[in-house]
This record gives sequence, structure tokens and C-alpha cells, in this order.
Amino acid sequence: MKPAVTVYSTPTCPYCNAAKRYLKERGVPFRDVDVSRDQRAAMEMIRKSGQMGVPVLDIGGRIVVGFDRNKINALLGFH
Amino acid sequence: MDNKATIASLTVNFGDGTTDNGSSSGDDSSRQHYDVAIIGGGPAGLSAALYTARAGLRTVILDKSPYAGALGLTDKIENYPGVPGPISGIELLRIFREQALSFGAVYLQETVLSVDPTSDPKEVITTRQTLYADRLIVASGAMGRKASLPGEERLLGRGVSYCATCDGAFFTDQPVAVVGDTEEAVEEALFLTRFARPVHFLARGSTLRAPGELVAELKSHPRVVWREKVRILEIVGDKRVEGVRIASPASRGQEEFLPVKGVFIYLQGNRPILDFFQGTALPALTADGCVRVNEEYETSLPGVFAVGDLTCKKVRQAVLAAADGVLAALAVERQLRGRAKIRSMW
Repeated sequence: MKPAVTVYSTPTCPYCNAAKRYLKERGVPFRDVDVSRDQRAAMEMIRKSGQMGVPVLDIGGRIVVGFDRNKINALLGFH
Repeated sequence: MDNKATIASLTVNFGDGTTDNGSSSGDDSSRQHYDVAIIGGGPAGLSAALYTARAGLRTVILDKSPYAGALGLTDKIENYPGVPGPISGIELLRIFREQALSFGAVYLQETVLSVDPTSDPKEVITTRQTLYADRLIVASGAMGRKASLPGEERLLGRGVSYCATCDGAFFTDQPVAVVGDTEEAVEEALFLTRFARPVHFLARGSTLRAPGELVAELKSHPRVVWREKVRILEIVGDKRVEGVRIASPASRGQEEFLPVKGVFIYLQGNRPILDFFQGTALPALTADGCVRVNEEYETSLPGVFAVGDLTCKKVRQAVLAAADGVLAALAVERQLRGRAKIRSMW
């Protein structure tokens, strides 16, 4: 079973858009959370990651800070 | 500062910002395939583009900014062979660029965020799109830096950021500082004025390397506090940024404390810029962190070439960087056309 993926992002963030594009191009469904509009989600993101920076990805409960392709690939089982 | 206090200033909207599958990204997702993608629009990259485009190869140049890089910073050049000076670096780059474009090279002002140098074709992810190329020529220069300000690394992601367009929304109605002298620093500071107040712009010198109209907009903005010739002594904070200690002529060299919640840093150094190679895909480096290349400027990654200041020459001159670009371009052309030897192109 594939892990649930959430992307915490802001609309103007190039790294966030790149991360979302990367997932889309590989057919990975994900929940896209705009933390500039959703304060509770932003708090959730900071609690999970300890970070006030985006993007943050939650891949099946594992946290990836930034658009880190190698970590994303490893957690999704891509090569 | 705890998380709750920080987030209280994050946003005015408690609505649900959730959407499905990132459909709001607004990106151009069209796929483009080139024979060669060149990362960097300095003398090395543009010379490579001139030769590959003139050889009929589909060529794209990916350049963060026509003002970025070592040559773009140079005010007066009098010794570039064949170009009587004095001429500014920006003007010399414009000539380089126009010559490459005249042979069909495509110039995109886009920052490369990530590459996969082992895929076939090689995948390049920029700020705007994903594109593909059979060969990569990396000419990104050596003006990178590692976190070096006291407190910078420890507080990264805790108020220290390198991306205002990413993280600016975390600082609504909060005081922030921007450190830098470049076009990118000015643009990011102006972006921050949508959220933060005030935005302390801390320039290390007295002039900014950015278009005049942008500088004028920055200096006249009601939310911007402009300071020049600033020394950053320390970014202060325990779990979150609580301020920055500085010294500047405005304070007669005396130490000053600015109680800011965010510090956005856009400084440059002298390290090869390779951050778009991630983890295992990095080409082999020298002990100094420079890219190892063979006599054709190919790296340890097949089909990936590195030219210009990335190779850490003893002498850093535009004409030498340009020559690197030409040699790499000829090698790329030889590889793609399946020849054993480089053919001279007169």
C-alpha cells in the first residue's frame, strides 16, 4: 500500500511548486496544504518538522524538509 | 519564542487551505527535450551555447539572472580579447548572450533547483518547469557559500531562511531583516513587504547590484528600513530567531540590536555552486570542493560537463571560462554525433 502524502506549501514558493510537480509527474496523489491560508495546518507542520520553512512533505508519517528528491524517492520506493 | 506565539502572526485566514493534488501550482508543466542544457549564463555557459547552437544542437541556457555571477559583478573590463573596452561585465554578457541566441540557443531566466544526471535523458527541474536534455554542461560558477554567520546554521528553518517567496507568509506583521546586495535580495525584500513590517534591508556595501528602478522602489518603500555598510555580528535566538546584532556607520560602528523574527540571507561566497546535484548524484570533486573534469571537461558523471569557475582555475578570467565552454561544447557535439574525434569548427 502506498503511503499517504501531504505537501505543506505556500503558493509563491518555487521549491514547493517543484515538489508538487515532481509528485504529479510520477502519478503520486497527495494532499496539498497552503500554510499561508490555513493556520492550523501551519501549526501542525511546525510541530511535525520543527521548521518554519516550506516545503515540508509528510510521506506516510516520515517528514522531508525541503524539495529533497533523494529522500522523496527513497520513501516512495522510486529509484 | 514558542511555536504558538510564532504561528499567531502567521496568517489572517483560518480557512481550510487544502486542495487536491496541487492543482493550484500554476506551473507550466509542458515537457521540453533539448540536445544540451547549459546551467549558467556566464562566459563559460554562453560560449558553450554559442558553439552547440551553431553546430545545430538544440540548446537551452538556464540562467538565474543576467546580473548574477562573477562577470556580472565586474564594472570595467579592458582586456577581453577582441572587445575594446572599457566595458561593463553586464554589457559583455549581453554581447555573449546575443551571439549565442543568434544561432538559435534558447535563453530562459530560470533557476535550476534539481537535476538527475544519471537518467536518460537527463532531467532538469527549474523554478518553472521540468525539462530534459541528452547532455548537461554545468557552468554555475563559484559564488556559492556555506552558512557562515554566527547563529545562521543553528537557526535555519527557525527564522533564518534563504527564500522569502517560500517563507515570507510566516512573518505577517513581524519585523524581519534581509541581508545582501544583489538583485535577488532586493526582489525578495520587496516581496516580504507584502507580509512583514518593517523590513530591515542590511546591505554590506553602499551600492546594490540590481536594476535602478528596483533599488529606487526598495529605498522609497514605507515598510523598508534601509541600512548600508552593515556588518552582521550574530543572529540571536534560542529556539527561534529573536534578533540580529549589527554594526554600521549609522550607529557610528557601535553594536546595535535589531529585534527581528526572521532573517533572510542572500550573500555570496567563492565556493562552486552545485546545490542542484542532490546526494549520491554529485560528480567527483577535488579536496577543495571543485569539480574534477577530464581534458574534454566531462565530469565523473557520463554526459555531464563542468566548465568555468566550477573547475577552480588558478587564474579566473572570462576568456579562460569561455575557452572551457567551447571545448565542452565540441566534446558534446562529438558525443551526440557519434564521432570518435572532435571536429574543428572554424
